Parts: sequence; C-alpha cells; structure tokens
Amino acid sequence: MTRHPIRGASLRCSSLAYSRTRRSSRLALLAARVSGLLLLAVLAACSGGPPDAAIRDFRPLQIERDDKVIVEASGDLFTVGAPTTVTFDKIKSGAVPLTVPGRAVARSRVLFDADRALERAIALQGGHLVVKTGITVEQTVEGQKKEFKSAASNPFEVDLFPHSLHKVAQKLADRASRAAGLWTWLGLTVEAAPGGLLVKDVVTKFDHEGFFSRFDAPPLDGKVTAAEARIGQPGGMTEGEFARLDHDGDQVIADYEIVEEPVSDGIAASAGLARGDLIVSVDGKAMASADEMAGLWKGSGGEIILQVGVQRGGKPATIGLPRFGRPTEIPIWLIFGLCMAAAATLIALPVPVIGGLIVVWERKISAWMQSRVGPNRVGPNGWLQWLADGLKLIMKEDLVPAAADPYLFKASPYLAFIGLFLVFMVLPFTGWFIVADLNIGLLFILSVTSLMVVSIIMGGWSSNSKWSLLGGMRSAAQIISYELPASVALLGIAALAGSLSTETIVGSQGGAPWNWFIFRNPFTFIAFFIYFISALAEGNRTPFDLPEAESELVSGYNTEYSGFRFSLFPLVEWVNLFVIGAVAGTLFLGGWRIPGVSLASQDASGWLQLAGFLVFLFKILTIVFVIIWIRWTLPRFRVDQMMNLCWKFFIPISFALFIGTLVFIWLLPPWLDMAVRIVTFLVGGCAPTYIFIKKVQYNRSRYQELRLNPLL
Amino acid sequence: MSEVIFAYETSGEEMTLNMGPQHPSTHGVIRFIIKTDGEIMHTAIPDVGYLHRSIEGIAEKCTYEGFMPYTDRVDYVCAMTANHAWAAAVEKLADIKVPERGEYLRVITDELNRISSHAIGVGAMAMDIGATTPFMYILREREYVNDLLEMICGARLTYNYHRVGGVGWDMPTGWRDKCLRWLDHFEPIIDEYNRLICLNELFIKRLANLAVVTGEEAISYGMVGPNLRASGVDFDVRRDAPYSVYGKFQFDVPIGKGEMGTVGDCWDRYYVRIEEWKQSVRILRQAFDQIEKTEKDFWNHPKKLKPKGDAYARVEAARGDMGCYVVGDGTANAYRARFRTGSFNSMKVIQDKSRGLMVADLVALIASLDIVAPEIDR
Amino acid sequence: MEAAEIFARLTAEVGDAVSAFTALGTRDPFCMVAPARWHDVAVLLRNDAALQFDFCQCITAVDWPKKSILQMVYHLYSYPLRHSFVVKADLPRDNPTIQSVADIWMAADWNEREQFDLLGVGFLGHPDLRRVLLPDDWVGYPLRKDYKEAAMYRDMPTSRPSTLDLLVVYDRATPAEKQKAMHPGAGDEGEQETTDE
Repeated sequence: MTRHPIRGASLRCSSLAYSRTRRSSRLALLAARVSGLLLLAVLAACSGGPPDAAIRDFRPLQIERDDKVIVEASGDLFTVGAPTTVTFDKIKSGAVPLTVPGRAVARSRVLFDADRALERAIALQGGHLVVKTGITVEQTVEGQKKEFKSAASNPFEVDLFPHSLHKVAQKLADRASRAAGLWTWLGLTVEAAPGGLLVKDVVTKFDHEGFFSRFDAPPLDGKVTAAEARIGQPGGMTEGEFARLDHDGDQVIADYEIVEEPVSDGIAASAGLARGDLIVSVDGKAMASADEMAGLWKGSGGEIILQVGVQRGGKPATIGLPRFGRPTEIPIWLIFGLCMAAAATLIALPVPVIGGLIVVWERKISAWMQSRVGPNRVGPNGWLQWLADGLKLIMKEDLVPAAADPYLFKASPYLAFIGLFLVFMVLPFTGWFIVADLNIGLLFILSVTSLMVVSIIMGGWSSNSKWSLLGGMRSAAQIISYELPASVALLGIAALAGSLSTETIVGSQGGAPWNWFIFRNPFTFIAFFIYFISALAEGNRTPFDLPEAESELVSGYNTEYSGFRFSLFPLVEWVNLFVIGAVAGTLFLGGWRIPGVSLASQDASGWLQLAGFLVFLFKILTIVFVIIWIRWTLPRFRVDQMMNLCWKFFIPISFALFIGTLVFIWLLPPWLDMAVRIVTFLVGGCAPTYIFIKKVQYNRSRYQELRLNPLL
Repeated sequence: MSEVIFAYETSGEEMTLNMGPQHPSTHGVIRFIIKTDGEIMHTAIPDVGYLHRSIEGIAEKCTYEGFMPYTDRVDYVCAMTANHAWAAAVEKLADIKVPERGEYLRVITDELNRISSHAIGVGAMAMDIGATTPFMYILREREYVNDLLEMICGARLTYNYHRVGGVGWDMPTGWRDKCLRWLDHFEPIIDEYNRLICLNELFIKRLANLAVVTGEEAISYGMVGPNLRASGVDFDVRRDAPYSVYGKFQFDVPIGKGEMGTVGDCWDRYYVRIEEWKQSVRILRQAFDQIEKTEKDFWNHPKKLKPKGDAYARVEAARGDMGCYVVGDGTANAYRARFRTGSFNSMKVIQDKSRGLMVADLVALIASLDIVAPEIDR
Repeated sequence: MEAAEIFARLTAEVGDAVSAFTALGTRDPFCMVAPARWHDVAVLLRNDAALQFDFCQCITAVDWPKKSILQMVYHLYSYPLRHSFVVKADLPRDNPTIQSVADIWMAADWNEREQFDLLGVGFLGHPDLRRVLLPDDWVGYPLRKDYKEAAMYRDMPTSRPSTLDLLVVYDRATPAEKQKAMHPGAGDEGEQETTDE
C-alpha cells in the first residue's frame, strides 16, 4: 500500500509497477503519464480506469466485433514481440477463462482483436453481455512465463456488444439457409471415457468447399475426417449417404437449425472446448456416448446454449456450447450489404420528409413566437405545406444564368445534398438501427459535413453573381473556421467513450441525465455549448446566417438558383438542423438510451428499441426547437465578430476543454465520478431549467393582460 | 470607433457592388454603388431618385388644399407630420389661425403617427441586422395605431387628415378612451420591447460604436430629429421652436448619451427613438387631458386662399425637422413649394460615413438613420 | 438675436454684400445678398460668434420668369443661439450661378445638387455638381416655369393619355366599337390569328 502522489487515495500496485513507481521521481512520473496519456488520447483511444494494478486499463470497455482491444499496463511491463495471450478470468461465472492471442505493441500495451475470440463470446450469449472480469496477460519471454494481472478487487466491467446490423444479417442468413436446408457443423471429436466423454480433438479450421466436395464423393480424407462429420437430414441428404458418413458412433458431428454466421472455427472450439477436456455432463445430464450428446445438440427445444460441464486439468467448469453454427451458401457479406442498402433506403427516404416537416414546424414556431397564424391551409393544420412548396419548386423552370459556369452551378446543390445524407449513415437511431456503425463514425460525420462548404463555395462562385460570391466567401470562412471548435469539442467525447463509433458512444452513456456525457464533468458541459454554437455556425443558422443574410446579401450563395436546384439548398439547411440535433443527442445527451433501462435489456427488446428511438427523436426535436427559437430571437453577427468569436474564443476554449477532459479522466477517482456527474447535472441542468421556468412564469404573470387587443 | 473595423487593411483590389434599387434593406427604392474590398467598403455612393415624383412640381399645379393628399406621399411612414408641415406653412403664409381643438387633434395624430413611424424604424432596424421577431412585435403595436388613425380619418397610411386651418374631422365618440386604453397598453410594452432587443448583447455589438456622427458633424450634415439628438445635440423643434400647441406640454428631449459606445453611434440613434416613444406617450396623455377643455370648433376653413409672399414652417416629423417653404403669388396654387426632409440630408452622411465599414454595417447605418425613400426623392 | 440685429451685424462686417433687409410684410425676415460675395457672407454667418448659423436648413431656388430672375432662398438656423435668418439672392435667369457653400455646411452639398438638378442653378465651387434625383442624361430643369417635358426619354414615352380623356372616347363610342375595345381581336379573323401566334 502506498499513497498516490496526486490523488492521495490508497493505491494497490503489483510488485512490478510499484517498484517502477518508486524509482521515478514523482513529478517526472506525472509529466510522463500526462504526456503519454495525451498522446494516447489523441489517438482516440482512451477511457477511465483505475491505475490500481499492473493491468491498469482495458479499452474500449464496450467491445464489439472488429474492435481492436487494448490492454494497458501501468509502466513498462510487456516485452514486444514475445508470444502473448490475454485471458479474461471468467467471461461468465462458472465458465472457463477465455484466452485470446494478443500481441504486445508497446511495453505498456497489448493489442488483440475482438474478432477472433470475443465475438464468439458475444455470440454465445446471444446478445448483450455485461461481465465483470479480471484480465491476465501472459507472456513467454525466453522460455519464462510472465503473468500480469489486474487487481482482484477491481474487476473490469466489460460490455460485449454485438454489431446490431450484423445480428439482423445473421438472422436473415439463418432464415435463408434454413429454407435452403443447408448444413450445420459442430466440429468435435469425442470418445467415451471414464466419467464422461473425453474430447479427442477440436476442429478449428473448417474448409467449407472441401467439406462439401468430400461429402459428395466419399471417402473423406484426413483433414476433415469422416469421423468429424455427422450430417443431419435437412436438405435432401439420403439416409444412405448419411449412414456412410456415420461410420463411427463415437464421433459426433451434429447439425442444428439456428445459424450463426459462417464460422471458420468449429463451434466447439469457439465455445471453448479444448482437447483433453472431459465432458461430464450436458445440461446436467451425464453423457454416455457421443450419440447422446449429438442428439441433445441436434434436438429441438431447450436452451439455445447447452451447458456443458467439463473437467479440465481436474477442475470442473461449465462451457456454454451453442446449438448453432453451420456454413451457409449465401455469403454473409452479401446479406450484410443488402441489409445496409435496405437500412440506407429506409433512412434516406424520409430525409426530405424530415426536412419538409421541420420547415413547417419552424414556420409554425416562428408564427407562434411572433403572434402570427403561420401555415394552416395545406393538409391538416398546414402540415403539408412543405409538399406544396416542394411541388411548386420542382415545377419551376430550372434557370442557369448565362454567365454562370453551368457544370459547377448544376453540381453544387447535389454536393450539399450528398454531404448531408452521408451523415445519416452513421446516426445511431437505435441500437439496432444504424446503417453502418463505422468505427470512425465521428470522424466520418465531421468529414462529410464539410462537403457542404464545397457546395456553397461552388454555388456562390459559379453563379457569377457578386452577391452569391460574397455569400460563398463568407460561408467558406465561416464553416471552415467553426469546424475546428466543433471537432475539438467532440474529441473530448471520443476520449471519454474511448471510441469514435457512434453506437459505442451512445452505449458508453447512461439513460439518466447525469450519466450523459454533457453532465459527465464541467468540461464536457461547456464543450456541449461550444459544439452547439459552432454547429449553428456550420449550419448557417442565426446568429451565424451571414452566408444567406437576407438583409445584406439578398439571399447569399443561392441567389441565382431556381426550381428544384434551389429547393435542395433549403432542404439541406433544414435537414441539417436535424443532423445537428442528432449529433448533439448522440454525443452529449445519451442518444437512444432510456432512463432506467439497462443497455442489455434495451438491446434485447424490439419495443424498447422503438422506445429508444422515440427518446432519441425527442432529444433531437428539443434541440431543433432550441435552434429555431434562437433563430427567431437573435440578431445576426457581423462577419468580423463571428471570426473573432471563433478564433479568439472558441478555439482556445475548446482546446482547453479537451485537455481538461483528459486530465479529468486521468485524475478523477472513481468514487468522486458520480458526485461530479450529479453536481454538474444539478448546477448545469436543473438550476438553469428552474430559473428559466421561474422567469417564464414571471413574464407570463406580468404581461398576460397586455396580450389583449386594447382597442376591443 | 470600433477597434475591429480599423484593424483591417484593404488590399486595394476593388469590387463594385450594386446594392439596390431592389434590395431588401435599402428601405424603399434606393441604390448604393458600393466599392468594396471583400467585406470592407471603400465607399457607398447613394444613387437616389427612383421614387422621384416631383411632388414640389405637383404642388405648383394644385390648389393649396388640393395638395394636401400629396403631402402624405412625401413621407408615407409618417404622413401626419408632412400634412402638418404643409398646413403650417400655408397657414403661416395666409395668416390663418387654427382653432385650439384642431391644434390638439393635430398634435395627437402627429404623436400617434410618430410612435408608429418609430415602430417601423426600430423594427426594421432589428430586422436588418437579422432579428425578425422584434419587427413583428412592434408592428403589432403599429397596427393598433393604424387602427386608431383609421378610426379618426379613415386611412391607415396616407391620412390626408390635416387641413389648412385645422383638421378634417373631429375625433369620433369613444376614440379618446380607446387611445388612452391603448396608451396604458403601450407604455409597458416599450420596456418589454426594450428588454427584448435594446440590451441584447449581439444587438449592442452590432450597433455600438458604429458610424459615429459627432454633434458638430451632425449639425453640419443637416441631420435632424432623432438622428441629430442621438449625436448629443439637445434640440427639438417641438420644445425649442414650439409650433401648434406644443408649448403647453411638459416633456423631455432624449439625447444620445453613448451608453453602449460613443455618442452618435447607431445604437444611440436607435435608443433615442425608443425614448421618444415614452415622451410621445407623455405628450399624448397631456393632450388628451387638455383637449377636453377646448371648444368644439376644429377647423377654421378659409373661404379664400390666395396668399401672397413666402413662408417657411418647420415641424418635428418622425425623421426630424421637416421644413416646408411655400411661395404664393396671389393665385389659388402655390407658386413654389419646397420640402426640406431629414432623409435627403442623411444620404450625404451615408456617403461619407460608409468608408471603411462592412457591407453588413451599411445596412445597419441605413436602418439607424431611419431613411424613407420618398422622403429623399419626393 | 433678432433679425434686424443679425442684418446689422452683417452689414458691419461685409458692408454692401448684403442689402434690402425686409422684416415688415413678410413672415420670415430676410435680406438680399450679392451672389458673387455669398460665400464670404456665408462664412461670416457660420463662424461669427454672434451669429453662429451652423444649420443650413433649406436651400430653395424659385423661378421668376416675369422678373427674369432665379431667386435663391437660404434658410439658416443657429442651434447654439436658437435664432434663424433667411438670405435670398437674385440670379439672372439666363445664367444663374452663385457661389457654393458646400464647404461651409455639409448639408448644402446635396441640397445644392438638388437645386441644380431641378432648377439648373449653377453652384460655383461645388465639389460634385451632378444631377441627384433625375437621371444624368435628363434634358431640362423640371421646376422651371417654362419647362416642357420631352415627349420621349430613351425611347420611352414620358406621358400617358389621361384616363378621363379615354373615358370620354369610350362614352362616345358605338356598342360595336366598345365590344372591340373590350375584346381586342374578337370578330377580326386576321387579328385573331396574330394573337394566337
């Protein structure tokens, strides 16, 4: 036990880490740590974890397929290049430890691929799995085994998170292959042994094509022995053929109808069965023969996962053996691609509708704020006004000024359109419903929204009109400048979540407001406003609507446009409100998380997904409302004031906030974390809301009678 | 002066920008030829005359009374005071005494119209720098004024209410009460409106220290009315050269104090108008008090109106000291009429003060001078 | 300061440049000024401590073809001293020129331009004597009493037939003519085709 130099909290170190700590001077250590951390964080891989033991950190805490997982040690522990394995103590209580191969990429970091092992574990649990586990890294250096463990007192909470769209793809593939009557395959060779079935061999590589060709032309050769395969009846297999393969009763290959994605590992292997294990029981029943086990595995009913009791090295353990997994004919990438296309269509088609409805909504809100009536003629209560306006615009002549550059002029609106629509690809509407959960999601959003500025400059320049040019010029300066504070404000969130993936970022937040990133600490709270204001500037909204300042530039960059091409600009502008709301909602306001519902249960239920979507929509619309509210309240900045605000205030502040967030992640003791969240929530969330409500009540009480027409 | 504006250095490359005559914020059909380097203007040369209807020429072809409807078109935003200026000039020329009630009705309609004109002025100013909602709020109040003026003279914009020798009609029954009720309603609105925009940080940033006109300059430019007072010159025709019955009222003359920046900046020009509302309300209340005690007669209709000589009368219009110079040659028509208006003289200010401003500032400057195009062109 | 005192002060300073002070029989007391010395007088009016006419209210030119003069009328006002004065100057109608005072009162700049524009008064020494309300290529000075507007300006007619005249024509027309006037081309095959084209 020692006192931590900074935090003053008690600290438990492994011997190695401890000795290193003592050798360094405290200040140098701090400096090294902070700078190292900064570097790491810039690489966008950072998350809070107690530096209590040799294995200090493990991230991302939320793991999904394709993730690169980093195990971090405090100090230089690992030997780069030495054979390394990472073991999770128990991915599930009672189960055997899960060991995955990793590689030491630095003296303090081990990297492994979530694909190979954890995906399996995720699949085994059929969905979300939050486990508490210790982590051990084992290295063999010059024949000597070294082991580094995380502190037993402080297990990591690992959230195994299946790729949502992937799951859909899997289910579809399952259906498809079930219809086609394809094969399943277990890949386990057992023989009867005293006390159970002894695992003779576990097949880790399965050659689909080879398997089927051999199947067509037996005898099967040695790589996949006939003994490994026992093929079930679905799919036009004759009994005779079946029997020929089934020449050794002790060896089980079974089928099952639930399909996992095509596996290159055998199912048994991926479940964790290893050569030499003694299978004592399956689902509590003692196993006498391989047939019996195969029957259980193949049979209908029961749990999706068989609980297999094994003896490994004399110790009892339980392994969950999934009853699925077979090769499919339809390649999963095709199904995945189709799923993506369908989701993209599903999301892209309503975008004009969203834009249109927001236009009407804005007009209604502005009418409400200005004591007017607003649109109320087309459709129910005027809600189809956007349709009428859109149709009118589409039917108008598409004018291209004679002096304009026709190609650039025509291309410009589409570019704006594309730039905005691409953002919808990575917006996490629910845990399930996202077109592509890119692991660079945030970066993607920031990049494609920049297409807007290209479009605006193109439109402004190619119109060959001075007013358009001024508008384009202003917007170029404005959008490019404000992208900086917006991006840097979001970086802090990436650091907190330890990921750029939007789904992961949502998953890292809680449902309750104090678990949102906005109230995570004071820095993110301010960062939210920096982002929000910068987003207003990027979206050309009041008070930053200089590129289209009506009273100055007539209409700005789109002055010369008409008809359908013109309609795209306002459409993009208003859809952009939705995007601003969605990005802020995802990154700061907890996205689709429902308060009081755990990530796992929300991920399991379709209804909760829908509810989550509604929650997310509510957050988006709230922000959109605030943006509209601001537009109809504030005057406009002048161009130099706008630039001053950005370069002299927002950019320094946003960098300070980013660093502040990092220091916060680094230094905040876990016990204080919740307190900070609550305090930030109370001070930053509740207090302003309370004051606002009081103010509104006061204003209403004071000016109520003045609303009446004095002349009546 | 704003430190920001002069921190720029221009590269010397000029772009000529044609602003108007159909530009949203030139307040009517005025054209500005702007020489600009990016956002910074080198000059903005006003090109006026698009609304020129030769009202002075028309005056020579009408009888003195027949010209009254045309005076509405001199300043259609504040037509009552233009009516008043013409009436006052002709009365001075022909030595006509106006009945007291007529004078009170003139003052009342003048002040109501001043309120509505300032409403357009400050509302449009807020809109020109990007805030649309205040315009709507204040136009709602202007609608009430229009309603009131419609009740008394049947028109909402071009009133043709004043007559040589008085006013056209007495106020209708119950009108006084409605006006007073509206004043009770409007007075707190001024503060509400004030809180809505005057103290808005963005608003102040846009207007404070912008296009400062010092008192001396303002006098030399011939700026009048609120624009002059915003530059710190304590002068109001109503108080310092009283006409009609203005001498009987107690009221203050608000002047620019440079609260947010320099005396004579755009914000001052704006704020003076807000303050003038309060004074107009004060005058109106007193006028409604005193009109009760007057005789019924409101129009001393001149039987024969063929004056000779010349006369210059000045009234305080919403855009300031409006002078009307009439020359009569003994016939029923004016020999020469001349309207001296605030907006026309303000154009020179724009031409000079726009140097080094930004395009967005030009809009604010135009709006702060509360320019009305027909007043320039006539 | 009373008008008479102002005139006395002026005569004391510039002597015969000012003359014919009139206070009786007129509403605004005025004096005449010699056009050639108007600038000096204006400087005096503006700068003299007892006068301080810092506000040039109004500049008017009045055309008197019978007297063959163009009369300039300057209305001046002093903010510090709160008094006003009128100065008039008679200019010959065939060559109406007077010294510009745009350098003394900035307000005079545009006002002089306007009088130049509408009445054709030449202001000597004006920095920018262009038309202000009318187009630069306009011919004539509209507020002169003998002004006749050209029938066309840049191929555009400057006048329209009076509606009243048209009504008289309409009243006298036969029903067939009225029908034709209301529906031009109806019943006329040739015109019908033209409209269709």
